[in-house]
Amino acid sequence: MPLTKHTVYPGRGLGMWAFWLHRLTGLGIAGYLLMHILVISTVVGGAGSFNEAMKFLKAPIFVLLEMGLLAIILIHGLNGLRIVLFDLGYGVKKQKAIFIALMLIALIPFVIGFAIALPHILA
Amino acid sequence: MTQITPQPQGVWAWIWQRITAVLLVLFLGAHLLVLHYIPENMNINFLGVAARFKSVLYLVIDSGLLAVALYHGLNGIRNVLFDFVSNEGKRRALTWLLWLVGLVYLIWGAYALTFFVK
Repeated sequence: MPLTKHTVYPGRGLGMWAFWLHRLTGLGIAGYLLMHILVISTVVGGAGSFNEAMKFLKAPIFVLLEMGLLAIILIHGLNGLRIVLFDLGYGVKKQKAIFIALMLIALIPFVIGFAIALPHILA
Repeated sequence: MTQITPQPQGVWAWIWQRITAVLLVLFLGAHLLVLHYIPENMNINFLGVAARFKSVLYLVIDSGLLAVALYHGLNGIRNVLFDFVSNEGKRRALTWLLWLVGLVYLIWGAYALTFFVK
């Protein structure tokens, strides 16, 4: 049976939010990845250019943005595990509970990362 | 309503998206842990990165990340685009374009990484 845009769309409620979160965080991370490769490749101009780029990116505003990056990576990565789990045939019936549990787990590395970053944001 | 094909992305792209997903959880997890959660590594500079790359394991993880993350990210963009583009020819053109972008980034990124190893 041919699918329509309507039938492809994965539903409503929490599952819908998980779907949109996964898409938006994925697009955000993909955009960051392409920037990240360009930033790291400043090393082609020598160790000095690389160190200068790293020093520039230590500014509080970038560390703050990195907290957003950490959050979306954790959301996308852990929700991604949920998707892989479903594809292997596990957990579909408990999908909402698994989503909530994974997002709570994501809070742990986020809080630790935030605590590490906070002095650099307030610097 | 626009009709779109039942197999929007191709089965191999779908399988590879899952394989790279699991690899990313491991590799990116290691990458972030080493760079941002270990205090003595947090001042990122050329000598520090070059020293880390002396470890073969870390070199494999980081250059592997480059390829795996590019595939997963660009294929993810393709999956999103395919929900809006149903024309076969346009889909093929998008696929080629994304492969081209990926290969250019892969070659440039790998070339940049060699500067840390020299």
